[in-house]
This record gives sequence, C-alpha cells and structure tokens, in this order.
Amino acid sequence: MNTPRPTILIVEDETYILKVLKTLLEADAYRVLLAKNAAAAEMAVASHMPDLILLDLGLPDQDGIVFLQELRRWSQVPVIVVSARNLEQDKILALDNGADDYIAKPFSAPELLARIRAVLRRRTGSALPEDSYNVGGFFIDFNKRSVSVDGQPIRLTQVEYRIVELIARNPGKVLTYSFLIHNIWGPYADAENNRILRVNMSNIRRKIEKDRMAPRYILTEIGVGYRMAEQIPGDKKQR
Amino acid sequence: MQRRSMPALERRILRCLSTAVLSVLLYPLFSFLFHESWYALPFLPITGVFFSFRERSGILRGILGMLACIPFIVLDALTGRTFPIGFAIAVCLSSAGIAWMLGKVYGQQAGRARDLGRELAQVQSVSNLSGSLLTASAPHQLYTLTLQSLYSVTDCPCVLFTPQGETFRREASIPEGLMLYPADNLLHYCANRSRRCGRGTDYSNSSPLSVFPVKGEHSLLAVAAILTGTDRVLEEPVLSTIEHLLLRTGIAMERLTYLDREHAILMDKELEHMRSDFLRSISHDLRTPLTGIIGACSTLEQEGVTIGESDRRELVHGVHEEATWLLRIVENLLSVTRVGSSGPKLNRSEEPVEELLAEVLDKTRSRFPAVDLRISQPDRLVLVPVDPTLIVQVLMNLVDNAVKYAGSSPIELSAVEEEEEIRFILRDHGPGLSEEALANLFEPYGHHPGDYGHGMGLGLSICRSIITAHGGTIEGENAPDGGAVFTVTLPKETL
Repeated sequence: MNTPRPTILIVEDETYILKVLKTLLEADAYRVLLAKNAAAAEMAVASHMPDLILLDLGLPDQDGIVFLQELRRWSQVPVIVVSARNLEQDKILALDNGADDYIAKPFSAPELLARIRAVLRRRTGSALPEDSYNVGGFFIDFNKRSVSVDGQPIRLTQVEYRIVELIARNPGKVLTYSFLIHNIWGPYADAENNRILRVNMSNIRRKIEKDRMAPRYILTEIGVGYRMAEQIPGDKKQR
Repeated sequence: MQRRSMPALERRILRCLSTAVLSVLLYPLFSFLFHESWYALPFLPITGVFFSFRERSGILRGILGMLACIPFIVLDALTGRTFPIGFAIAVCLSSAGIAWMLGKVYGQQAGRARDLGRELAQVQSVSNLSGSLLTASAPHQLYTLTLQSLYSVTDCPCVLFTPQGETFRREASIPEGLMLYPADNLLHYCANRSRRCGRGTDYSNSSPLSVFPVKGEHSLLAVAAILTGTDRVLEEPVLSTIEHLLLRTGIAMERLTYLDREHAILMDKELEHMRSDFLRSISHDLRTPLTGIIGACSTLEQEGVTIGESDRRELVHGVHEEATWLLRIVENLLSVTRVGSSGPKLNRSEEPVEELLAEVLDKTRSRFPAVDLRISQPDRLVLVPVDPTLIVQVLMNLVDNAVKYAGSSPIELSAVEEEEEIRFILRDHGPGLSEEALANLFEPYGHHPGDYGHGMGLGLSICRSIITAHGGTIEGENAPDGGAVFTVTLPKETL
C-alpha cells in the first residue's frame, strides 16, 4: 500500500471492544480515531474527515440509525455498521439508511478486515461510472447490456438483466430486497413483487451459476438481500 | 302464512273446476247404475267432498257439483222423463251442506296438522342448532349458526351484536351485507334490562326491529336483532322458539369462553414449564464453556508460570472454540425470545427453498470444512413462507447434531415438495438415537447432558418451538439401516 494510511473512526461505547478494535486495526496499519458517542463522532467526522466509519448502532446518546440518517445529509463517508442486534430488520434498516455494509457482533478479526478493505476499495474505485464489471468468469457490459460467464454469452430476460445490472453496479454491497424491488418495479411495488424477484433470481442463478447450491457471483444475504461477489473465494486467498 | 296469496287462489279455482269436470264425467256412470238420473244427484256433491279433501271450500265444490247436474236434468226433462225437482234440490242442498261441513272439519284438522308440523320443524331447528352449537369451535361459527336458525324460523333478516364496553359490535348478519339504521337505543335497552324490545313490545313498538337478548349465566353475551319490518309482529310459537334458540346460543357462547380460558391456562402452564426447563438447561449449557474459558484465561494470566508456546496456543484456541459455542447458544436463545411468550413474531417472507439450502450448505462448509453435506431438492423452484434466519438456524442445529453424532460420515439433507407442505429431511450415518433419546428428543432437558458434551437438548427444543411457530412439525427417528433421521415439515400456505 503506497497510499497514505486510511483513517478509520470507531464509534463504540464499550471500552473493551473499542480497545480490541483499536489494537486490531492499528496492527493492520490503519490510523484509528475513537468516539464513544454520537456527538463526539459527529465532531470527529467534521474535523478529521475519516476514510471510513465503524458505527455501533447502540450509542448512549442517540440511536445509531438516526445518527446515520443525519450523517448522510452532509457526508458520503463510507460506513460499516457494527451491531449486536442481529436481526434482519436491523440490517435492512441500516442498509436502506445509507450504510455501506453491515457486520454483526461478534465477528472475527479477518472478517472485519476483509469488509473494511472491500468498502475502501469500492470507494476509491467508484469515482467514475463503470462500463463493465467482471469477477471470476462473470462479465457484464453495461453499454451493450450483455452478460457472459466464462466467455459464453448468457441470455437474460429484460427483468433479469435489470436485476443483474443493478446488483453488478454495486459490487460487494448488499442490496436489500425492497431496494431491488423499488428500483426495478417502481416505488409502489408491493410484497407480491418479492415473489417475482425471488423467482427471477432463481432463474438468473440457473443461467449464470454452475452450482445453484453454491452461487459464486450473486450471493444471498439470507433474509436481507443479494450481493455481487467482489472476489471469487478460489481465485485469491484474501478472505 | 303470508307466502300463499295469489297463486293459492288460482290453485283453488283450478281444483274446483277439476271437481266439476269429474262430477260430470261420473254422472253417466251413476245414472246407468241407478237407472233414474236424479238418484245419482246426491252423489255429485259427495264426489265433490272427496276431491275437496285438502280444502276448506267444500261448499263451493258442492255447489259446483250441483250446477254440473243441471244439463242432465234438462236432458231428462227433454227426453220426457219426469222427476221431483223439489226433492232433488233438497237433496242437493243437504249434501252440499254435508260436504261443506266435512270440508270444514277436515280443513281444521289439516290446519292443526300443519301447525304441528311447523312446531316440530321449529323444535327440530332448535335441537339441530344446539347440536351444531356444541361443536362450534370459534365464536364466529356460533354466530352464523344462530343467525341461520333464526332466519329459518322467522324468514326475516337478522343481525347479531356483542357488547363491547359501552358500544356494540356487529358480529354477523344474514344476509351478509345487510344495511341497518343505527338502533343503539334498542340494543342498549335490550342489554340493560335483558329483555326483548322493539317491534311487538311496549318499548319502541314502531321500530321494524325486534331485539332479543342472548343471556349467559352472569351477564348478557349478545343481542340478536330481527328485522321483521313494520307490517309484521312475531307471535307465538315463533317467539318461544326464538327464545329457545337464543338460550342455546348463550350456553354455547359461555362454553366457548370457558374453553378459551382453560386453553389459556394450559398454555401458560406449558410456557412456564418450558421456561423453567429452559433456564435450567441454559445455566448448564452456559456454565460448561464458561468454565473452559475462565480456566484457560486464568492459566494464561498466572504470573511466574511459564507456559510453552504450543500449550499457550492450544489454550487460546480453546477459548476461541468455547466462546464460539457460547455464541451459538446465545443465538438460539435470541430466536426463542423471538418466537417466545408474546406469540410468534415471525418475520415471514416467501423464501426459495434453494436459497435456504444453499445457506445451510455455506454455513456447514465454513463451520465443518471436513463434513460432507449432500443436498438434494426439487428441480423446480419452490417458495415457502418462513422466517429464513430461523429456519436456517433449525437446519443448522440439526446439522450440528448430526456432525456431533456421526462424525465425518456423510450427512444428507433433502427437501421434498408435497401437495401442501415442504419436508426437509436430514439423515446421518451415525449410531442413531437411543431409545431414551427418542422418548424425549425435543425436551429442553430430556437428555443426559454428559453424553452430548454441549447440551444438545436445548438446540432441539428450540428447533421445535421455531417449527411449531411456523405451523409445522419436527420429528426424529432412526433409519432402518442405522443413523438418525430428522424430518421438518412446513406448510406451504400460511394459515
């Protein structure tokens, strides 16, 4: 890494966890800022412009979701939400309110570091709208609206293509079911569309995945949504 | 009574005419038999009586029968036969009178029989109702049955209300979308005094509604309103039938409330039982890994004791393992609070079975890299309305279980689609379940904790509560050729 060390702001009220995270991140060569509550976090974001925020949702002075909503009004700094609330609704709420990723407590060190790397990479890479995206054998050309796997063109229906495109334009980011539904069928689409989305995804997987029981390109976040793979586990040993 | 108005009159005229025609047809027969035509005359009205059996208007037929004779009398006169007209007329009149009387008597009898029949029908409807009321399992079913009986007894639209504090809630009506002017004053009067009011009573006689209380042992349970209209008043025996009907309804309603209460008490008991079992097994399940963690940490913290690098690593690894196990227990506990006391709070959505299985496969591969989990499923896409996290958790608990028993022998997880349900079958090739384990497989503390290292019973009992909350079933058994088989059945439609 020849770029300057990225700065990470940890917003967390548990001193012990804060200490563990700090040790972990500093050992991985990040600069670390600490904030124990929402007010301190806001100041730290304004004055230090961190490259990434690790946000715990259970803050003493403010609901983490509200903090996130307010932050998103003036800053696009990447946020990874860390929370002990391991319910899908909380994940969905955080993602739909502008979080870039979500990691549930407790998490393992390598998992957290991988997520941080992914979000940072996404941020630096996505300055320009991409013309295409590829991961492993999967390739999508947004201009030609074509998809191929291992060089073989894949025939997708209109709706299937739109789903794949939407997911591929946000690699690594979990797109919630409702986000996908609203972006594909419009803001007034209802729950019935969930069924349609799932059926379409099943068809897409039958077309692009070798083994639909172990999808490699479009991954499921159970109960939350879908995510485009950024790396194929077999390709590079990074996770 | 009201029903036969116009068509009945026509029917009556028709019948009279037919009598007359028959009389005419029979006349030659009689005159042949008696050689003198006038002897036959009295028989004519009597034939009339025969055919007027079902009618009160025997006199009409008598007269008609007489009139029918006139052409024959004239014929006799023309052929020159003499006959005493005065006598003939007297006979005719008297037989007409007899016919009329007989007809009258018969008519009364028939009327009485009809009334009896109607009463019998009403008694029958009461007893039918009470029979079906006793089997009714939901209040709404009860209301509908009551209204159906009321309707069949009165032929009038009717509505059933239940008191909700100071107001009344409309529970059901026949016909279903019946529009009613608000009649709260009637309902309140009826409810407060527990007596009939509205049409046909001294309170609000001008109303088109007749309102009846449905009484329970201690309180008023409901109010039934019958829309008789202002041109009709309900009278005996209909009134007493209605009262009987509503009495049965009251009894049935009370029965339902008692049943509900009893059920709630049972549920509470079961829940309480479950909770205490739970706490017992949790404290055991938590204590075991915590002992390991604390032991390892305090060993590492000890000053002045040198621990070799490999030992140190082993201890730290142990802490990690035990903590991971603790986490799994906590995850299970969280699920229980989700499906726990205040009713199931499932976060259901239509989930593709293949995604659920893929998740289980993914988790199994990362948790037990050495284990061979083989998955089979229907070719076509099947959606099942479940809480995906919880169902994956159930399946993972079963996989954990299988790995624990069967070690590294292959585990098979298959999904089978049936008409109305989805079955997940998890089968291992281990030693299978012991008799004892089979007996109380899903009880939180049913096992000998020692045999299973980390308490497995807790996981299975949680599986059961999750699956029950989904309206499904979970069963464990041994395969004929060895190994344990767990079957989870989930309905395809939410109830």
